[in-house]
Amino acid sequence: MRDNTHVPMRSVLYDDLSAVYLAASLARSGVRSLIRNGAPTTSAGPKFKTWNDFQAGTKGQFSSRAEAAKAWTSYKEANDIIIGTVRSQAARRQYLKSLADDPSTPSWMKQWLREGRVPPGHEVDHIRPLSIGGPDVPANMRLQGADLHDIHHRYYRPWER
Amino acid sequence: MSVTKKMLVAFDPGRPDTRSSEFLIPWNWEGRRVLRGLKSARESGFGMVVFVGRSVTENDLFAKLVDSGTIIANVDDTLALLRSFLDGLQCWKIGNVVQIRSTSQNVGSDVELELVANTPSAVKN
Repeated sequence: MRDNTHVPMRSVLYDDLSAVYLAASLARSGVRSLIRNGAPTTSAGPKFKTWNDFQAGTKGQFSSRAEAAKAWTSYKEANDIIIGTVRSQAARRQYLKSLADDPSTPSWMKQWLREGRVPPGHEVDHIRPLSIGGPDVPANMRLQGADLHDIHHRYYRPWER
Repeated sequence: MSVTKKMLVAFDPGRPDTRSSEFLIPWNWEGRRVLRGLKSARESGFGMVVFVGRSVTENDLFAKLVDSGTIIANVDDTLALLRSFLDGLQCWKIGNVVQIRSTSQNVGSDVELELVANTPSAVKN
């Protein structure tokens, strides 16, 4: 059985005056994939996708948390990692106003809902989270008690996967 | 942000026909400036300028450095070092063999590369 741990790192042989050759070869594979070949991970894509992963995976590499944060900024930019999502306030307002017309909505909430505002102690939750591709539309929203919403996302954190 | 389409790869004057595909970056090692492999951290005396076909920024190099598990004492200094290196590469032509100038004056973030030969075959042992 072949032991993969002893496979030598890929090297490229070139003939004389091979800069042009190398250029063509690199252009074909793309520099990003070339750099990845020797990186500790063989997966395509960045090694870390979230700040939490980054902190856990780079323990001891930076002198302080502030330094790690600076490094994360640079790392995100290099790997085109986009965090956070822009939410549509209009869609949220539309959803809240639609609840005001719903006969099953408790009457005490309606004064806020009619104005498109969230009733006290409540939050708007996305049923399928935006971080995993859920749409930012009223059909994907629900009104949840703030405590329940907090507990829900303490355990259900799809953006960290 | 510095952007270049040129990079340095490790070059062994004893075997001018064989070249590693590993990119080199400047690094401060025990008080002197050296060229080291981006992934393997192996020191290399000479580097050959190659065209990489896409824009490379200091952030790209820095991200690979982080992925390789290198201990980075100061992020800003490292980024400045890489930026200076990429800026310096603009002066050289594809195929040039260069080495880093290691003097007591260049311990900051300035990287000085000096020409060894115009082409790989012109390098003498």
